Amino acid sequence: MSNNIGITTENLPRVIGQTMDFDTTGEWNSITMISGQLDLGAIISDENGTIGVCSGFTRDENNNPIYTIRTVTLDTQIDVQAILGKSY
Amino acid sequence: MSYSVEWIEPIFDRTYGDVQILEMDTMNSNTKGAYNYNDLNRIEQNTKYCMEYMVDHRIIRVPPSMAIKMNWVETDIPTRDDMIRIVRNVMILMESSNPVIKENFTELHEATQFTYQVANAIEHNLDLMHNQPDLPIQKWLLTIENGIIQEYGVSSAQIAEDETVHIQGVPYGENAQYMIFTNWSGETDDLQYVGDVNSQVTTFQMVYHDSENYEVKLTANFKTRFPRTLTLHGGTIYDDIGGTTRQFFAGDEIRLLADIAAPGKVFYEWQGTEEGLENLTGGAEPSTSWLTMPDCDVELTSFYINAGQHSVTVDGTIQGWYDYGENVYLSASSRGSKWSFAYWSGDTAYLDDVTSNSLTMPDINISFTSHWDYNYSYNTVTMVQGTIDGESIIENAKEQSSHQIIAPAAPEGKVFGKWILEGVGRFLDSESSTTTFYVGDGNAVIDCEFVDTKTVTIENEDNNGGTRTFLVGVGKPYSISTTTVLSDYMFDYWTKDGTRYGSSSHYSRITMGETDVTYHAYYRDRNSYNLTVNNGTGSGVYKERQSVSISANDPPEGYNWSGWSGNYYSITNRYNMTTSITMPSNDCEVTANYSKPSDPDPKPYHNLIVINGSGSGSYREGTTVRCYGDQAPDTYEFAYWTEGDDIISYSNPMSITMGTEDRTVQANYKPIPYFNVTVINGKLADGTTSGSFLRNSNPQIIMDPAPDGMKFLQWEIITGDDNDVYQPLSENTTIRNLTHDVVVQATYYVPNPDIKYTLTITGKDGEIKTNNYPIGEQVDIRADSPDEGWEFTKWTGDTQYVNDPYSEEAVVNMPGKNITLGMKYTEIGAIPTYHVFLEGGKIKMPDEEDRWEFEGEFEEGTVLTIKADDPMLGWEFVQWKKPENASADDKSEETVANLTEPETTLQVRNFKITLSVVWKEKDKYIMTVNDGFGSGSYYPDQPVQIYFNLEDTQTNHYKFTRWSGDDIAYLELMDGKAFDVFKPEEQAVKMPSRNIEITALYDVSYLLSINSIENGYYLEGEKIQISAEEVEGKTFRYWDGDIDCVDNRYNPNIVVTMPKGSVNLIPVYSNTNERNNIGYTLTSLYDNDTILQEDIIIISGEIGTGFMITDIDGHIYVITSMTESQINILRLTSKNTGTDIT
Repeated sequence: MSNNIGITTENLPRVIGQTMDFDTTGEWNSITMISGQLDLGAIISDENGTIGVCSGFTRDENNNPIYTIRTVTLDTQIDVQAILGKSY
Repeated sequence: MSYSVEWIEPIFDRTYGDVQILEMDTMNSNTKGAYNYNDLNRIEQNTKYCMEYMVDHRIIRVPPSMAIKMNWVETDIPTRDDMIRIVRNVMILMESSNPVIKENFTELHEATQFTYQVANAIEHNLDLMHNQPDLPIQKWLLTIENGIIQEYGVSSAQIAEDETVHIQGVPYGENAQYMIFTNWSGETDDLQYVGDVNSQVTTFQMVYHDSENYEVKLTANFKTRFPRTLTLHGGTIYDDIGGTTRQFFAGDEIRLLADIAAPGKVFYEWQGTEEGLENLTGGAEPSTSWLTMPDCDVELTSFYINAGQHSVTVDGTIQGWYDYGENVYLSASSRGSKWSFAYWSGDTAYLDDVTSNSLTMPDINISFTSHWDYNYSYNTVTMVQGTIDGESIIENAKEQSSHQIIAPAAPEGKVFGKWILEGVGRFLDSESSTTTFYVGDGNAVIDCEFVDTKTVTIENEDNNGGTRTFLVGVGKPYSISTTTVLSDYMFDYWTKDGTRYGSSSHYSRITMGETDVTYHAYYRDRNSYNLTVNNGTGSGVYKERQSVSISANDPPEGYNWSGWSGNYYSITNRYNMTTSITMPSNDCEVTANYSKPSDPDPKPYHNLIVINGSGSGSYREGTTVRCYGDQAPDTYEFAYWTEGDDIISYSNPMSITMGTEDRTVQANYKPIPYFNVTVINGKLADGTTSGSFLRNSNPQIIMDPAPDGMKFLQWEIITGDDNDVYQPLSENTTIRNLTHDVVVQATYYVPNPDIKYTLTITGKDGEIKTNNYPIGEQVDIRADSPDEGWEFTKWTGDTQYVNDPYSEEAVVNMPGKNITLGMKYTEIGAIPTYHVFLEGGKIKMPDEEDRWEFEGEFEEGTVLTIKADDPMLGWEFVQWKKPENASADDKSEETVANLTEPETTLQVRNFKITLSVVWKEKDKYIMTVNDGFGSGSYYPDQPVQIYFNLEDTQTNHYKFTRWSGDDIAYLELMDGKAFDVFKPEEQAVKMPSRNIEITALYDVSYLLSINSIENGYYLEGEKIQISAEEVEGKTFRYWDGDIDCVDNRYNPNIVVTMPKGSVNLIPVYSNTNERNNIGYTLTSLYDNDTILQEDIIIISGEIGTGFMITDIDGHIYVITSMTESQINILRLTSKNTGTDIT
């Protein structure tokens, strides 16, 4: 069995513990699984180095699946550079 | 082995004491010391035994020549020589014994005295020899030439007695690959121990040989054969492999089989590579033949010809009938010495050149027309008076050439009279002084004569009051003429020398008499007369010969214009209502005439109903109506017409006359009888050898391939009539116009001119002539000239081999048996009968209810009903016609009442009548059945089976709804019922005379499968709700497969809209047990090495080694080990510490 790991072109929340929903009408298509399948526990990384874990799976009123990704770690360098780039 | 004598136990233990006992009692011959006749017999017998033993055990190679006496008796007295012989015999055996026992022999020498020691030595040695051991095994040299001894791997080895080895022939040299083993050779005595002299690998058993130096030499023989190609055209290689092009080796025996000839044809010979033809068994003529493959490539073609003899016609007359390939000399009738043959026209392609008089006969009828050159003569024409071409004489003037001749000036008082010819030639106008002379076939002398002139005087010519004179030679012609009508005058008459001569205004070619003559033209006034036009206009007063226009009134009601009548001088067109007349020399009355319609009181109409036929309608009384019966149903034919219960006619079509009331007639049909055809040495078109066919059908018969070395001769009728086979000389032909059971046999012959059979012909007067001919010979026969008052009727006897039994000059195709023929003559004046033969039709036998034959003999004047055979499907009758090869003066067609009626009558006349039916193929029309069976081209009225033919497949189900298309309006079933548009099953429709296109309408449902499991068949557009099955341990994710037809592929409960085609949907699940083992904690685990289990919030999976944990700082940990009380973790992420900002 291989790990369930994928990447998304969406930006995951930059706060540890925050969640983001991916549904079939929008963001869900941004996920490309590298191995395994998108399911609970799947590790999803975005292009900023933010890593989330699929922590929830529900369906809407049309039975479309909604996957919840919880941010579990992130790369702080980009935040520092963003802060330094600000003008005061 | 059993021996001729038995071994007797020897005695070799005698002692001197035994001898002393004997010496004491010399009469005791039974003592061991005595050597009596028993002992001698024993020694001799044992010697013989030992010799046989040693020979048997091959210790002695050659039995020695020994004298052995075994019949010693008591009274015999052995001689000295006997003693020496006995000892020498034993010593010979001792010498030849196995060396291993020799050392045990007791020394023995030739002795004349038989001491007890000698006796003991003899018998002891015999005892040793009688069961001595065999000699060691012996071997002899075996040498294999062109091969090896398999067991030894060499070609030469010593082989022990009784040893069996495998010997193998081995090809050798540069052509080894093309060498084929043929046999083993060697000494006959050795070959008998070769297992199979014809096998390349076989056994050899070495047997005992007397000589130690004996050598067995065996040679494997090969023949070298290079592969050569055999190509056949129009034939096959007749073996298990078959084909038309194969490789063989020189010397191979190959069976060739020519293809069956096309209808009307017969195999003639093989043609092609000369070396191949030379190696055909029996030559090139057998259609089934063996080819011994020559050492070269061979290409052979089977050549076929049109069967039978063919005619050569010269200048419209058949010169003769000839075999294919026969040398024919063309002979045109001489036209006399004045004509020379020039060239031929016609089928000159068969001549070397158009002037050649010989040709090689082709397999078709050919004709030639001779052309001749006229042999002109060159002659002399001498003029006595006058000139020819300006000369008084011409020489070498070509016959028929033309030359101008001019008479000399006439003497005073004379004129030219005429030309006088001596010799040959002709004048264009012998009475003209300048004319043309045509040279004849000989010389000519031309003279002319002059005659005296007389004066002709014409007075009042054209009423001019004057006089004209001219001179005319006595006896020469002259003319007089004057104008008939002048404005106010009309010529009246001539007088000649004062006497009334005539009232014609012109006379020609009046011959001049011996005296002068005077003519006077008299005129009178031109009178006017009344013209009365009845029923028209133009009446009035007009002068003689005046042209007057007249017009007729319109016809009265109920009348038609008829024409003019009256006493006019002339009329332009009496049938034009407006025309012109020329006035006569009297009052004139012309009348426009009218006529009443011929039947002003038409008879009443009555209805005619024709059942099963055409002709129905309303007709006036007395009208003759032609009724045509419908085409009979399959296997039926027209029988008769009925009206009520009465049979009114057996003819179809028939003519009936309408009476005073309605009529209903019906065409009736009857089954056509079947007849059996059996083919021996051949088959029918369906490959069987017998079958039943409708009467008048023409079943095809095809010969079986000829046996080896033979070729087809002809069909012979076993049961039936001689004429039953259409082309008896064709391999592939038909039974003609089947009217009875027929058994027919294909016969073959060996094309060997040395095999002959007898043709016996009994002549008119009983004279018997016999001649022998090879099979297949085309023998010309000629009937004897009939006696006065008699005429030849026909050949009798085995006439099935005669091409035309009714012809005095005929040809016999000689069969493979003796045949006899006779001649039949009929007395002239006796009521003769004449042969009537129909090809493609039948004759109704007079005075017989329903018997139809295609030929018969009938008296002159007999009227026969003839009827064309029912046409083959798609064909129709055109007309009766005499055969194509009939002579120009054949009058057969003149005997038929109506050549264009399929059923008509024929009146027998005093000649042989032969007629054939001309058929014409009907046009075909196209039937197009979309989504159904039945499309194709068909003849009108041909039955066409139509049915819906879309069959369900695994993915598509079809449900027929109906047939559609405008052309359905023209469809009718064969039984006359309407075409059922709602019936998908087979319906037999009658093909109309037009193209038809119909289309099957149908519903199609398609297969819906879920995960390849059949769910059901649904129509296009149909909506079906399906759900993904809930599976324990799995979570539905989405649908895969043909998802274009589902509303939401991520919804486990979807609606499928059925497309045009099958659908397979696959629910895709994720497995719960394949989720990552991962969770998080709501605290910071930084610098912690352990974690409490209750602090772990599991996202998926189970807590265990490798379980990943994230904390609120974003660090990731993994459980490295765990106990019941403690979970040890390891941080995977490092802490980033900032650096100084520069």
